[in-house]
Amino acid sequence: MNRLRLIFQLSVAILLCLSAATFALAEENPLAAATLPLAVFCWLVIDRPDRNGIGGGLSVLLGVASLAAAILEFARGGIESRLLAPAHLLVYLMWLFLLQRKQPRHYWMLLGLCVLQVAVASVLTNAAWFGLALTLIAVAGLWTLGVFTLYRAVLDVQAEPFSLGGLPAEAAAAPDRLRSARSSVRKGVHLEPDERLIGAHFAGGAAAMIVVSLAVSALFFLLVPRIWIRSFRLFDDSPIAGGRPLTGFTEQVTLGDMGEILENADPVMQLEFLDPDTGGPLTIRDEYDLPGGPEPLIRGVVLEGYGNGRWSQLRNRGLGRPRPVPPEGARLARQRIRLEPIGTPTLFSVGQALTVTPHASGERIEFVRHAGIVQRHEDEDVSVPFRYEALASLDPQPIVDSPRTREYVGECLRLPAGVEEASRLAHERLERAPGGPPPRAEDAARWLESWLRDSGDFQYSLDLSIDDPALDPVVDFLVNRQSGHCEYFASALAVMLRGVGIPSRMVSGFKGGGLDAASGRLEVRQLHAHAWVEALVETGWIALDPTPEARAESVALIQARTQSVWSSWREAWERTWNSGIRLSKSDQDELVYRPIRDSFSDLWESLSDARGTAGGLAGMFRSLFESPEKWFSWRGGLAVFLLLSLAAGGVWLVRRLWTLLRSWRSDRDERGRGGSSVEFYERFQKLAARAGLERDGPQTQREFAAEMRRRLASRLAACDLQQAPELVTDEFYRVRFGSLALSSQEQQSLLERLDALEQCLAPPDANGRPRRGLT
Amino acid sequence: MQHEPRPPELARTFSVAGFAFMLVGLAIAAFELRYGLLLRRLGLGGRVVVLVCATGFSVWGLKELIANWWPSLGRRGIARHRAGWPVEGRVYLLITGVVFVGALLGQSNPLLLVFAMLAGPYIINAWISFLSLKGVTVVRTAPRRVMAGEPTSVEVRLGNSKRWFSAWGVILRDTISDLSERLEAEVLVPRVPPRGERRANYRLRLMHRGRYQLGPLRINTRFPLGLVERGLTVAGTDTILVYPRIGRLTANWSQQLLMATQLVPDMAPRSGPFNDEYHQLREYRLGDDPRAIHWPTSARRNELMVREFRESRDRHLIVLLDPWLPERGADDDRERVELAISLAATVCVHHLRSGRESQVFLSAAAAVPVHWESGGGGVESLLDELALLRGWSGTDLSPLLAALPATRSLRARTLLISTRAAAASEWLARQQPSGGESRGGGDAIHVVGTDREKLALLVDWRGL
Repeated sequence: MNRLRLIFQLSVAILLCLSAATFALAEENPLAAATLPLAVFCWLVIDRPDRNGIGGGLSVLLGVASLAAAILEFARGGIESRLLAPAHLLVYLMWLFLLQRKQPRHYWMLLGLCVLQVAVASVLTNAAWFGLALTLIAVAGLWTLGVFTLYRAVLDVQAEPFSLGGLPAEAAAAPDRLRSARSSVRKGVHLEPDERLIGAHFAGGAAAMIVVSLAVSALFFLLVPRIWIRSFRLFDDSPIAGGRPLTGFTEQVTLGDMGEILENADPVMQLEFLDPDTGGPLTIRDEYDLPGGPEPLIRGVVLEGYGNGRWSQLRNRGLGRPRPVPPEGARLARQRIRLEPIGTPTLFSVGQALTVTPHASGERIEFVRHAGIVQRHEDEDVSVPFRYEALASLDPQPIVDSPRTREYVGECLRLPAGVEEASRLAHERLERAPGGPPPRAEDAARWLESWLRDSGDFQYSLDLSIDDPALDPVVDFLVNRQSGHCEYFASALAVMLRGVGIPSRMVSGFKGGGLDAASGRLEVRQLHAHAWVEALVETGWIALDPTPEARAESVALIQARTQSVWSSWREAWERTWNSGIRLSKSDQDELVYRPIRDSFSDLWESLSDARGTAGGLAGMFRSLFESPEKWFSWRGGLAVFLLLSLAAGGVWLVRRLWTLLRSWRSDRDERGRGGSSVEFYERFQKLAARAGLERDGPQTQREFAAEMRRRLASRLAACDLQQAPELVTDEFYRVRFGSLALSSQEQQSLLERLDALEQCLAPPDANGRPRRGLT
Repeated sequence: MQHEPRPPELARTFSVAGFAFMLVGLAIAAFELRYGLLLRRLGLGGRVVVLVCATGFSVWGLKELIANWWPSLGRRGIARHRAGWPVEGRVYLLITGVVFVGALLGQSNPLLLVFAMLAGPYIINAWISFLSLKGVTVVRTAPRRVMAGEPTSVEVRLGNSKRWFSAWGVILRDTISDLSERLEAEVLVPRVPPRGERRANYRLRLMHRGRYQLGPLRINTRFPLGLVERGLTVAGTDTILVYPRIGRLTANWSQQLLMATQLVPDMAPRSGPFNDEYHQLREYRLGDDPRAIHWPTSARRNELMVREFRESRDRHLIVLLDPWLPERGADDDRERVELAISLAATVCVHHLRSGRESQVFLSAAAAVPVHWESGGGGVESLLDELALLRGWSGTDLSPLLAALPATRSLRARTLLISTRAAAASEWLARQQPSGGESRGGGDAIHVVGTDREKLALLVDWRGL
């Protein structure tokens, strides 16, 4: 019992510590973390030695104080305090219960508070660590509840004082009070000599229970329909649940912002390439099979306005219809993309998207005509993953001449004050081109791109130190630092192009990614973020990437640094967690309900076509038997499983039928042997029972008859039936064990004897006459 | 006529769990039929699954309602199984429900995950509790007869016929009752292994003479989480016959009663000293036979000690028992009846144990008079009779005297144990005006009452 108590108390303490730590981390406030030392202290000082804690009066006082503190916080705080004030009250109450000497109800309270605390923590964070913490808490909680159940059961049946020798104290005090003495019973726990309450069997059983519970919980989570009640929001401004946009992909980007994410390996999107014509999977063996080359540029945010080191989107870029699909021969890329929630409505694609089809119906998307991008409607929830299919063009996109287009192009030529030095440098570099300044805009653009990228004058670096804060960052980059990351190179090229009269805009997106050769999918992470330039030349908007090759080396280096076993596990978990925790209605329909629906349909069709099913199964088995190489495949495993299941079911059925058959035969034999003879003895036994005599289990029928004769001697003598019990019993032995049938005369005699016995043993009625009873 | 204790019945209760499950089942079915929540998501198969589950809930809830409201039905078949909904489980479900509603209102998947983490274990608890008691057999082995006030043990054999699963945390609850009291025995069996059995037992001390009924026996389990209780009622009942309490006759008994009867002239010739048996060592007194001196003890104690022998040819004993009880008897009257019966049992048992050749006859006045004599069925049959004997309210003691054995000789001592000693003495005096306590042939009928103070000098009720 002491060991059980100790294990239980420790389990509770660990569970409370886990929940308090989770809550503190989720809230980013150390208040709840104070539970940890308090739980250890209370276990050492109160629970383990079983001492008194704080008294009832003090508890009430502290409870009132806790309530007052929570109300004060609720009244004074902001929006988050509406949730956090009650949550803090939970923490205070937990401390209060910890400080008391604990009965089972106190433990129940603590466990309830623990659950509520975790529930509040789940609202405060949706980070991947919370998933692990929740799993840990669930494991600890289920274990603790299991031990608690056993502990309570032991407490309930705990042995009461029960002396083996002599009378109990109450009866010993007045031993001659025979009638008023109270009987007693001793409760207890039955343990085998080598058995422990908490042993290997218990631990194994608990482990299995925990695993099954978690599996059922996962099923619950997946299957519960997301019937969100939309008219209610806990946080109007959604500071917690929403999630902020990924740096570098907002409407305004300050130079250097992207550096924040270039060392981050969090996944951003997953691309799967399809055949542009058929829509079937495209065979991707290596990077060179990727549409757009080994490191395709994945377009995202397009920024046109520049000033003082900051790029921004134009306000009115014109929403329009999808572009027409180009004629045959154009280079197209069809891709299926799963975009993680990075807080931006912009949809990414390799090449300029022509058509975009959301995976879930009802999602609204918009085409931004001049920028050539596609984005989700502003009302759509950008905090959940989004899946879509895009058809994009890899060729330069010509523009359609119109006043609005001319206005847009004009914006792409606008240069702010302070970047004149960049224009001068651009002119100077063009002057140095072989054969003088290139006549074609595209050639000029490519010359400048080449100078920045390949000349060696500029270095790729993630160091963002500024040499001369008085200068525009682009000029500072071109003149002083001459090193920076992609944003600086792209900005410099864009400004220089504008300086020489070529419209340009900066594009934020991603370049390349990790190719999963097995699935042909391209995994894109934050560290693949990139910026480049699109310039309007004779053929249309072309992409120019002035960033040196050193960027690829830097990305490879960061990628290698982050790709340890631990990080791959972490990523796998984060991916699982994110896909689960952001499971939207459409995802649930696609990933969960549709397969079940399809399974039901298949099953129904299979049942509808039983002959076809049987034929198909027979064919499958025949094919398996004839092809040993298929035995070690999933089909082989399935076939073996089905065969073994069928065999087990068959054996079970045969055994069951055999048992039933034996039981039926046994009953039939019994009826054949006994028949009416048992009935008369049963009647005899009923008569005896009415007189207060019942046959004990081990007593033979003859012994019973002797006892009956002795105990009812006077009554039987009064009716002259002293011999009746023995005579009836003799007949019973003849029929039951001698297998002899009674003649009709004997039966009549027996019935008369039983009638007489019944009248004799019936209690007299009010008039003193014998009463007829059983028949 | 003996009154048998009726088999204890389970209390009639209203099953909140059953009612709730029935309502939940009906609500789910109605909701699905009205809104087609799963029909839209999972197709017709989903709707069929939901309706089957809902029907199962409702039928099961109805079964629970019926089985709890008419517990007599719950001794066989599927109704033997009961489900309980402990307070802890209700609070747990309440918290789960609050979290679920919070998740839907807040559109929060993490909160929905917490809900799932709460709901899953609850289902598993119910499933494991149900599984634990499946295939469990219970056999109770109780002693047929016990002495009042003596501890005894009842064994319960718990078998588990399941192939893979153990039965965990099984609590056996047995009811022990007679007309005046009801006890509840509880034994926790932490685990019954698959295809194994455990022999648990509980100890009892039954203080009242009569017949106790054991059962119904219930087994419950809340394992593993204590949120759902699953119970099983086992139909079999047993009875324990409790003999009257047997006390220890004190030295005063021999001195006051037996010696008194020995004053009566004994005309039977002695057959010689060989039938005497050693009784005790005592100090030498003038006139003692020197051959009786025990020299080793005398040397050790430095004084002369002699061996004393006692006549072993005990007289026969006739006990007439008059457990008279007024028609509206108070507790004290009933106590006196118990004392009289226990005294009769004590005297008879003592005599049977100490005597070799003597016989005991007992005749008790009751609605159905009891006549017993030794040599027939052993002392158990006497105690069987006394265990079930009840007080009577008749006035005429003649049948008692009439039932005296025909072989009664002058060597028999006769005791009349009565709860109304004074009235009985007077009645005897009226019957024998010339001889006082003597009757007919000259033997005395010694009347023993049930006055507690006087009896305390004669019998020690703390046990043999």
